[in-house]
Amino acid sequence: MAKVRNWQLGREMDYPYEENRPGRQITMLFDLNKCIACQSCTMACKTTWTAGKGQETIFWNNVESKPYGFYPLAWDVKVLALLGEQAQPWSGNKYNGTTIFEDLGMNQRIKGYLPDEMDYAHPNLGEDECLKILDGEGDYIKGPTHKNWGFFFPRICNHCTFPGCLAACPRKAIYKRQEDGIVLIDASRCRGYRECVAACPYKKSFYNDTTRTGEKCISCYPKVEAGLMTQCVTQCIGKIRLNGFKSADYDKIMSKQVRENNPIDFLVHVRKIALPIYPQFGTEPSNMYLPPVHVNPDFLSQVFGPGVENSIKQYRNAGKDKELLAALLLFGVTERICDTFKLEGNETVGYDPQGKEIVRVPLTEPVYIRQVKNLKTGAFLTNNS
Amino acid sequence: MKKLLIAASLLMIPVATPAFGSDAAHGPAKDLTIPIIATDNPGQYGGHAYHGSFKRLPPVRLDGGETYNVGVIKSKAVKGEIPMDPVNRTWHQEDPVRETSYNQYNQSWEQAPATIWNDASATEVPMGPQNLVMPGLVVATVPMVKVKSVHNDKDIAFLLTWYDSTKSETETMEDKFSDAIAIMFPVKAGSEPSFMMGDDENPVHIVYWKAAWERDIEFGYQDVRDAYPNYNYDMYPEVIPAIGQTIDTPIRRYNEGQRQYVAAFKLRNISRVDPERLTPVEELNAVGFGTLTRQATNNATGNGVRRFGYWSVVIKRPLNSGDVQDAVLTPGSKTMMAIAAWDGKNKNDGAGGNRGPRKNYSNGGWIPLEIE
Repeated sequence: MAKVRNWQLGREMDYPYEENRPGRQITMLFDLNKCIACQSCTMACKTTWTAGKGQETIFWNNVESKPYGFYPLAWDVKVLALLGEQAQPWSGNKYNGTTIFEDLGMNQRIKGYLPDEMDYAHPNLGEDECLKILDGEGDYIKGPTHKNWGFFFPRICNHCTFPGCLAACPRKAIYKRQEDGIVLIDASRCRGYRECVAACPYKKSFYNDTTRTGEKCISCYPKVEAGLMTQCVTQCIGKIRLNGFKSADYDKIMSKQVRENNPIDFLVHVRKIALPIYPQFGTEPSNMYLPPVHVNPDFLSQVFGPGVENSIKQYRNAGKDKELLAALLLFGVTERICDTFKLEGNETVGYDPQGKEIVRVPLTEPVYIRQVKNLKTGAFLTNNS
Repeated sequence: MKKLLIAASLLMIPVATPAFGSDAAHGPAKDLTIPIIATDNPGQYGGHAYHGSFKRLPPVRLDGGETYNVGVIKSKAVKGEIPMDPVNRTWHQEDPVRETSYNQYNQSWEQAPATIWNDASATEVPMGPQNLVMPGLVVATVPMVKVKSVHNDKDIAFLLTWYDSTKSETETMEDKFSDAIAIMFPVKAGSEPSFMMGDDENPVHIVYWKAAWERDIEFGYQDVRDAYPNYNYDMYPEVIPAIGQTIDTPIRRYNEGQRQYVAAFKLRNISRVDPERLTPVEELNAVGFGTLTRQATNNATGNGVRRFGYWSVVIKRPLNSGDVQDAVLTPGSKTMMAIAAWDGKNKNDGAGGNRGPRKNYSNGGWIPLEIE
């Protein structure tokens, strides 16, 4: 075990391989306040990549309804139980508990579990529990009740800096690309041991029944190489996602020499409004979430770590914070990856790596008031009257 | 068998069988239909009952008379072709009701004709849990493998027999793993590679048998329909209804374009997806853990049969295949071999059954192999 530096935990941690960060890291931001669980992203991914034989129960992208929706069944609850259910203490921004790479049993390489084949059979089973639709006999979750709240949680592979799947593969058939940090399985070298399926704490490595090999999200690399955002981002009708590259260099992050004009760096490292998913797992996931403002803060802290309060405070104030609004309004407005952005008066402008303008969005949409009546013909143009 | 039991009871010898015994912890009775003398109580290994030693097997003859070597595997010289049957298939028809076996003339085991394996001496190889690299096993799940070997002037064959209370032969479901066994030789004659799958200077040659491939050959390549007979799926995009294809069209009928939807198939990862498999074994090379690589040409053949809870697997390969990646075995010489075995059903820590490094290996590593 080597010692690596995980900025999300605020400390060093154990990892089977030496620290080797990519030059830049593909990242996806999700604004959870806007997701309506329409599953457009799920179907965009499914029809593009995993519609073939053997991939029936594989969803590289899924949207689950928290707190009781899961895919595969109870994935996060089970992984948290491996870490010690309530024993994930933070002191400030430092994580004091153990990760999936630490405090291992005698025959373990990584703490993980292999889901049952039936765990994949009912995506999002339990999604209605928080709404009490099934209250009474139909409830399959018993226990303490809580005030009704819920949110939709879109998830894809996190293309982690310290991937559990990569560390677990006995054949070294999984690799992280230096140029963009995408984690890929070499399908010609895989021997179907499913160690990656067991090791990935987010359960985003899957098993194909027909080819008997592992398969996982490829971050639409043919699109990303062409400077385009992934399918799940571009098909999102709620405009909740933003795709881009963030600084992956640990020393830069720590000395705050991040690129302030890069929308991802700005939201993740400067404003710290976008938070990692289950940082306590220790894999340093690259995907970041803007937590939903109306959800139980204790639950949010467990999922997104200690930055939740700061994030929600800023989000509620975004209407008055023009700079933040400028970054947030880049979500879902273009298919091309913005390298930098700038606030120009009442407009936010996105630029490509060559400095060419890609997109220009007004912070406030202009208001047009339509005439009630066509004065020439006398015809009504609205149905207000 | 019945005769034996009666004889034993007449002599007032206490006889008990797990099938009749009251201890339910020994698993399903169907797997333990062979009566065992109670004084040599089956030990508990890796979560299932195991007889402890093949020497204590009942007089039922899986592969003939038993002369045992200790610490060395001896390959017997034979004349003529080496048949691939580990047991006499026409003879050994299992009768689950009578818990015995018979042939068409209702003759019992003792009258079974001799096979080529009858006079070959056996070696019991104790197996240990692989716990040198993680993930591994804590306890051995296949504690013992019995090895016999014969060779003619062309081929050498190994008969490997081990007890496994559960038959695991599907890999077509997320959480199912296959039983398997592998034998390993140094590629360079006289070299002594690390028993941990070789080292940089000394590659090893591995022949690997898997129960799932045996099933693929017997019943056709196992696919989603075989794992889930009642499943329905609207349509796969690669399927072409205009030429009569349906969702059940086997992937071996897919053309190159259609294979793009089945990535590992398109990439010809035939260790995993080979719908036209001819043999349940594959040959591999390795220079240490994590380097296992399939050979381009496969010279070995195999055949596995399951009887009474035992896997009996014959692996046959040419003494000298002419392939530089294969080990050359010469009659009259001494070399060494090693064994690894997997129990696909046995879960260790919730992370699934035996596969890859979660295996048992011949205790002590290499075993001397004397080729007569």
